[in-house]
Amino acid sequence: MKKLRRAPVGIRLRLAVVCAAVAALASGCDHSAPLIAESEELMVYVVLESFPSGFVRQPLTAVVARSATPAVEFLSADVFAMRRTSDGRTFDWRVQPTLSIGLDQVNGNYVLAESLSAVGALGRDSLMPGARYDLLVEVQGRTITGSVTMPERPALRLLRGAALDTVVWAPASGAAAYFSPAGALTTDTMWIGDRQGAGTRYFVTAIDPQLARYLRSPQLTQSGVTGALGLFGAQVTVSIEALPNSAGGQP
Amino acid sequence: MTQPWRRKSSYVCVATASLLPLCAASAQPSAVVRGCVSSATGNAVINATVSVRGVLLQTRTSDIGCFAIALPVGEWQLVVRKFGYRPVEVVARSVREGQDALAVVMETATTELGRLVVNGEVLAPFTTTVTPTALRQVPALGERDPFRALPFLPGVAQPNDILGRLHLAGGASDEHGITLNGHPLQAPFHINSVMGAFNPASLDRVEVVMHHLPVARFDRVSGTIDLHTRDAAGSAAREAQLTVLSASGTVLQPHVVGNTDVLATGRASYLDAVLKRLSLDEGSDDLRVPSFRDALVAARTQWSPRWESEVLLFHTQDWWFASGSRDAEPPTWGENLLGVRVGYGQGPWSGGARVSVNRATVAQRTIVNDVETGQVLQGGGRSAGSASIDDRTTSLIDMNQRWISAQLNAQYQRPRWGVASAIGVDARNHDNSWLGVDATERLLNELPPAGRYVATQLVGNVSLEGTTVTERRAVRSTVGVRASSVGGAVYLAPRASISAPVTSNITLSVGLDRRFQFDAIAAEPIEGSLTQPVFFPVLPRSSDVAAFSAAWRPHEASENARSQISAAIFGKRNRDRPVLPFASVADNTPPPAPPIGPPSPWSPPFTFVDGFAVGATLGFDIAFTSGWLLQGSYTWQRSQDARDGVMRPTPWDAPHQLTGLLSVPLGRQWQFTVASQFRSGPAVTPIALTVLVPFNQSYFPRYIPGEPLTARAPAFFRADIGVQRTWVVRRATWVVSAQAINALASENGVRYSGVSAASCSGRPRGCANNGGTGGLPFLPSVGIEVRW
Repeated sequence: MKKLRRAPVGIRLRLAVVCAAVAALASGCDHSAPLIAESEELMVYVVLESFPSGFVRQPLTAVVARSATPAVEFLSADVFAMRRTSDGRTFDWRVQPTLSIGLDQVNGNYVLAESLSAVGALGRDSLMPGARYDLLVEVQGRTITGSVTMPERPALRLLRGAALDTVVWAPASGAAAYFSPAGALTTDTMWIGDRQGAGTRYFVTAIDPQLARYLRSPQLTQSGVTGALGLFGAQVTVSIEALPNSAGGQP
Repeated sequence: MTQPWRRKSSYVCVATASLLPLCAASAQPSAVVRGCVSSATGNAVINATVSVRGVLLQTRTSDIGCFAIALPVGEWQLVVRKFGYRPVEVVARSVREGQDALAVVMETATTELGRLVVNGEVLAPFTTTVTPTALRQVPALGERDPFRALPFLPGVAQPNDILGRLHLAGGASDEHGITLNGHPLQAPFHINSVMGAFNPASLDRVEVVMHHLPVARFDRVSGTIDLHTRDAAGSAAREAQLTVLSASGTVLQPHVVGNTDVLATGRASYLDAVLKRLSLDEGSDDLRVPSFRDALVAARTQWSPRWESEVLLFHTQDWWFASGSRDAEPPTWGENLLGVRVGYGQGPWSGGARVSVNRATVAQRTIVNDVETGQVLQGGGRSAGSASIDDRTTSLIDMNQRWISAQLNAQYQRPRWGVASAIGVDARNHDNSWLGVDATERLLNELPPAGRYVATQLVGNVSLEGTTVTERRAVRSTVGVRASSVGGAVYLAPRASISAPVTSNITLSVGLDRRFQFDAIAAEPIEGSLTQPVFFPVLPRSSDVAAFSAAWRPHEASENARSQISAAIFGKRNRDRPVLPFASVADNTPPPAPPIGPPSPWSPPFTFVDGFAVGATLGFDIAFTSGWLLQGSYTWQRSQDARDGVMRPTPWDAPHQLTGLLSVPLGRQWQFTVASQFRSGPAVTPIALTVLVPFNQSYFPRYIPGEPLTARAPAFFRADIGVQRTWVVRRATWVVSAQAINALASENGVRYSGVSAASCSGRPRGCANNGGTGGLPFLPSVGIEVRW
């Protein structure tokens, strides 16, 4: 049997160095996860709003989509129905394919009619604080349901000081948090700011527990709906106007 | 988390015992060898290093170029070195009587001047030095900046393109110290930490020490960057520079008063004021550009051949112009240092004392920021009527970080052994408060919207180090220990190193260190952030470091070319590194946020994790007398921490880094330089899911983070080019330079993450900049300087 000759020491040393270098380089080429993971989760977002009359407001929209990370793909639902629990009357949600979808902002692909339709479906002006609403969405063979109760309107009082304005409100039934006049999410029922001129209008929004929980928990992906990611929430906004040379305001 | 290593007195005994045999070799008769060093043109060469081959002794030439060194009787080989000159070796006979003074003539070495890296000599293994001449050669980011040149060194990384902070040997950006003539600094950076606050004209050299720290140095787990000012001894010198950003002037004047030499330098930005004025003339107040100034004065006095002292003042200040609002004071930040050093040297004894008083501040006050629109954001951000106040725009920063540091040191040096000891104290007092979203964005996103941190720390330290060099092969070894005391606990940090010349031009070095660090910032700063609030964690972090390096200078004796190749391997075991929990939400999560209260006491909720860093570096350069210079480095390193039970890369972990610098003479005093950097992208957290958040009657994307630090940002590449011409007119040297940073307009993301990737997804090229996460764009600049 032929005996194998071993390579000279110098060659073995060089081979070892090359192998070590290759191993070191290879360890730097580690397998990394993609920057954006792929997902195709269904999502439904509906936030009911009641706003003081007489103010310009954007259309009330909803989203039925797929989280095709990083973008969002709108989906057309087979069924998109919302009813008032107390009397079972339906609301007039319509598909709005023309609404924009962007990378930084999504306006929604369903919009609620502003008022009662000719066929008797309720509009946005029928959303009432304190009422309960049920949602049913069927899309791509999945059924998504949810219920929400709109908070009552908080009653505002404005106390005008020499340098400060104080807005006080009583806790509203069904509200878990509020947007203060400064836009901050809070559980307080008082807000103090610098005194403003007459005509200044202060706004406070009562937020239902499902929306409040979703806003407070950055990792939460679902609140108020079952069967998909998303949110079914409600909020009610009231305002008070600062009167000239007075110690108060009027709603 | 591990317990601190306390009262390991056995290490002190080992260190002390290792020095005892050295004492036996000190009883030889000696004599003083004297000499003078001059250039080929006959001028005295001051501050040249005169070392004795094979032993520890060395000295420097005086302001008339002469030296004296006590050597045992016999024949010795002296090596005379100075940057810009070719090393000279002379044989000296140390005899008791009738000895003539040596006359040493040094020739200018153009090959040395332009080199960015000058590896440490045998007496300072693991030390890398950058010369200001080299700094002038690297294409500048508007201003010549030592911190922008250091990433060209092996083992030094700068993962963020527009953040001047560095990472040494796989460490975090807060794990190395910065000193100026031995005095500690806190955050010497301008323009939201984009560039350093030092005028290269005032610097003699920048030393980077990362693989082995002498025990008397500031204890930092990743090393130190030591800046040394120019020595005014000798002849007077003056410099003035004008760049697109600033104007500066430097004066070195020997013997201003008696034997006091003075270095004074100052720099102030002007482009900001010009643009501001233009902007105001157009009625616009939107244009905001940075303003900065810095100044340095050093007065060094030679009281006698034995005593010298130095008083140093350093000042840096940055600010943004006001936005025009009466209630708004824009951010200002800066640092002031008063340092005093006294040195003594007599025969084998030398010593000194240092006192440093340092204060870093940040201030900002913005009460009302929404006066322009007069709108109040409420109820999810609706516009609602007339003027009001949005108190979420209130922003207050009031940071005050004081640091008093003092040290006494003494050395006793014999030809073949020496002992050095030091005792010091560092007293720090921090009173930092911040309030508002804008404040935290300017400081650090990880801070709460309102907080106050008031703390005092007192660290005492004692160090002892022994050094010996063998007679036969000149193997130099050191053993030392540094004991630090904080809050009643004692932390011992033993260190050792061995440096052995294998041949006349190959040197091998090994270092073993334990290091401690007693402060921390809350997280890695992002670009645009100000001076960071520094905290004192309940546990110090520590690092056990092992390093091996080899330096080869194949053309040491060549007259036409000089070259050197260096390689190093290092491994660090880190313990108790303070980190914050991983963010549960991506940084672009839309409002609303809870209301902000007044600043209340807050300390970072640190968890303490263990980890490691390993790496290998290779650096080379070759320079020719004709003016050609080619220099490059490659660094492979990994840095990982055990977090949540999993070993994960650190946010600055970038496995590969390759740099290159080529300088070519074009003739007629023109010089062309191209510098390039390539590195892997750092580890980032991917996006696992996109959901929506209702806000302002729309829906905004909310990115849900995936497994932390499991993805990697795209790789980085940048090439800078520069050209400069030098004239000599009436004994004044004029240099005009033009440079283009990112000459190929590479789109390098900074703070790259799943969020930025998601924001850019589907967008055309250029998204990185549009998304606000881009690195440096193509940036041309020009400059002129005159030296006389």
